[in-house]
Amino acid sequence: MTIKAIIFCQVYHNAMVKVLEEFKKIPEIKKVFSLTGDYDVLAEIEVETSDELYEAFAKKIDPIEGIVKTNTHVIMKSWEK
Amino acid sequence: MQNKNIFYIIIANILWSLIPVIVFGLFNEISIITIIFLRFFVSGIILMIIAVLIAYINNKYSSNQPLRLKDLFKFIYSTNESFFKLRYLYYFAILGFFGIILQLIFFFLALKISSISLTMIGFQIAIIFVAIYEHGAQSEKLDKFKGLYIIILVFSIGIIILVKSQESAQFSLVGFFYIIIFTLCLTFFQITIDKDSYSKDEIQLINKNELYKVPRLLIKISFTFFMGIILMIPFIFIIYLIPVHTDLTSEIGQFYSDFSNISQILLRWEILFLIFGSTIFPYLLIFIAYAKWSPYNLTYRQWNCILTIIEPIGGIFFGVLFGVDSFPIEFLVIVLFLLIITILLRYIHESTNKVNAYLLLSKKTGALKGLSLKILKFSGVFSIQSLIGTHDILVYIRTNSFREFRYLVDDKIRKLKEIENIKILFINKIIKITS
Repeated sequence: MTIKAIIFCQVYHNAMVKVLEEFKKIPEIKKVFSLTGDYDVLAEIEVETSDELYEAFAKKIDPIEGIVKTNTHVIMKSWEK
Repeated sequence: MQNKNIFYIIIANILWSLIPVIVFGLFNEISIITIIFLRFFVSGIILMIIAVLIAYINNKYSSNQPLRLKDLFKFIYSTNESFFKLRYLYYFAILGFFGIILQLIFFFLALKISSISLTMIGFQIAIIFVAIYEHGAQSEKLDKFKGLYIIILVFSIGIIILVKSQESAQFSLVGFFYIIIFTLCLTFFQITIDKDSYSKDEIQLINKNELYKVPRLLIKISFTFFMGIILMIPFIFIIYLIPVHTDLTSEIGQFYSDFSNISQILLRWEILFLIFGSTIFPYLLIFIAYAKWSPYNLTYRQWNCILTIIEPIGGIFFGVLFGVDSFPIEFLVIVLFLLIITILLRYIHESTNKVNAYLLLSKKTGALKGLSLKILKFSGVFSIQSLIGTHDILVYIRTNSFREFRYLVDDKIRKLKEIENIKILFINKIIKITS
């Protein structure tokens, strides 16, 4: 079963472009938005298992230089119209 | 994908713009009431059959959630929250009669006694009226681009009137009266057609099977056509009984005599083109584009507003090209150039005013059930995600202006008693979207 999560990031001043470029390269990340507000970046990640979520986060997202703080939310259910 | 949808809107508008050229030759032989009756009655039946067929094919040949006929037609008896809380059936009747049938009656009458290019100014005037209405209703900002857009439209209308005023045969007060009524009905249609919102049940259906939107739209337009025609019958009867002879009285008289050879009229290529080429096919294209529209850039409605000017451009161009209308070539080039410029200005206006944002909501304890669908019903809300984490709900919002955004957030969402806290995150740029 697919697991989807939303990662909100705060990014260091001047590191935005680099962080966005790194996010674009990660195949598990399906959507990336640059934001204005409490967070600078929103990324939607899609994986098949919680292990994959951990792997993607620990090996691909966490090491990105320029990220100050992340706040991850797991999506329980989505609705569209 | 989005380019394909935009292309569908362009094709639909071009097909609609061919209507004046197609019907012009029919006016001397067939009543405009007969043309309207056949066009909408036959198209309504075929679009309804297509809606049922889509549901049948989905149920029989796909693994998608079944689309039961009962569910497809259920919304007709529900109330339309966006249109004075009237039942959908009454909404279809009002939209069908005033927005479609009366509009077409006066559009054809105007075409018959004036000219294509002069009648087409009705489209430009309607766009201006809708812009004024949206400004008054505080749903859209009248910025410098939209101001310039309106000025250029007014300028193009001025040139057309100036050119056509030289031809006394096609320039009459009665013709202008018809154009005004047609314009008012078209304005009403453009404002009212979008006054439609999905119920909670329908949102649940859409989330189980996205295809639901297409037969729903087809049923909506079929019923709008049918209800319009049903109301047209007593209307023409009353007009016929009024002892004042008008152009419409003659058309009604001819409509009654046309009835004896209605099958022969139906098989004429012009009528068949009107039904299939200028009604069924463009509506199908429009509905497919609408149902498959990606919410992450300009909305369907915004692109529709940008491209709606193609219809008068095409109408004037094809009228002259096929020799049905005369227009000095130098003025034609100027008018078409000005109208094409308006597409660009409208695009800039829509792009600069759009608001893309996420809302992060924290809800009160015990309020999760039903809250997401309640929010999703609001116009401007495109998707909702129920979350586990610091916040409870992520709402994706897409509005045409900050006025609309403020209204949605402050007057709608913030007023929900289940909500404790809202954080607004504006989207500066979409970096990546893959499915």
